[in-house]
Amino acid sequence: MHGCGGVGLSAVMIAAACGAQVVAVDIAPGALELARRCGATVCLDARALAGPGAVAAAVRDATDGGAHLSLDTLGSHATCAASIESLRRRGRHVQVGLLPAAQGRPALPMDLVIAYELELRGSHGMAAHAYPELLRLVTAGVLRPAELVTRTIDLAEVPDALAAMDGPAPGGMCLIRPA
Amino acid sequence: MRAVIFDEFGVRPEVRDVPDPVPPPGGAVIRVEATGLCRSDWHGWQGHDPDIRLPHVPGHEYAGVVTAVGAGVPGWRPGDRVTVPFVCACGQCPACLAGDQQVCERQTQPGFTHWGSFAEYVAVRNADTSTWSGSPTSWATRLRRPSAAGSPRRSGRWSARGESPRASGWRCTAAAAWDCPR
Repeated sequence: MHGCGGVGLSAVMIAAACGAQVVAVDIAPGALELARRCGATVCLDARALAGPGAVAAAVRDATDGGAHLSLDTLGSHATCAASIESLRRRGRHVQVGLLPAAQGRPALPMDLVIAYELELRGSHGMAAHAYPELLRLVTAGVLRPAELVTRTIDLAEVPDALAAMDGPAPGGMCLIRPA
Repeated sequence: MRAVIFDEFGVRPEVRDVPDPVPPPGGAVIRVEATGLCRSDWHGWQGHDPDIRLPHVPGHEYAGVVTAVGAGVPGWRPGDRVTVPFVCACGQCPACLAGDQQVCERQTQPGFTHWGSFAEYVAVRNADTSTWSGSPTSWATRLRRPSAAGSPRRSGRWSARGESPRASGWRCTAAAAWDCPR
């Protein structure tokens, strides 16, 4: 899991609940600690690694040759490339974090995609009819999303919180209660 | 209602009073009980989403209570507790008929294509096909239709389970509000 914000931590929790061995990557110690609590078995601090290639190599080392499935839940050229290069042969990359065209399109390692027969997918969300299955896991206590909420704010606090989203994150999800 | 609103991309949003939303035909208005802050909201505020028209209210992850429905919404009524995928789907295009409403060809997205949930109320389009748990009758009918490839996909789950959509909707959407302390 490249990026352990709200989506990344949720995906770590779901993957671990499904029996996956999860490697979590982030640059914030708080996010990595939350990922560990969500069930990640290996947590990598990307700040200690020299770029996407080194991150990918660390993931391949931790997974005995590469991950079967890797997600970029942040959305950056670096995390996208690291995620794809983390994969083993015939592995699957899922792009969840946004990569707006306005910020320039990333150069992807399509040589690896061919040579390893990798699969690249986007994720644009989940249809309403698929919610019952997911929410059943929540009500059963298998998934515990409330544990991911580390901050609750009101509307007046949103402008500052929104502006801070491009900086270092404290870890966990921020919930807004308008009333 | 109170809402977080920005008039220019990248310029600090304000909290101010704006007109209450009214339910569009086929849509609903939801009183927002909880809404998540996501980096996609930051992207929208920065001007990275060409769908956004100014001024704009962001916010696309939310759960709450239906306060009003527009014409042609048999599946919902005021008081229902709901949550909504960020993509509101038309329910009729080929993607929707294949069960893939998250990539609907005529989708709307509160917080992007129109005002979102960083407010006391949010309006959603196509409530019956987008809002969990939607209209079980219309979904069951539509989703059982064969996809373009000719293979049946994802039958309507509620009728298959014989479960009351209203009751299950309440239980599950209560969970979707993240079970946080009030």
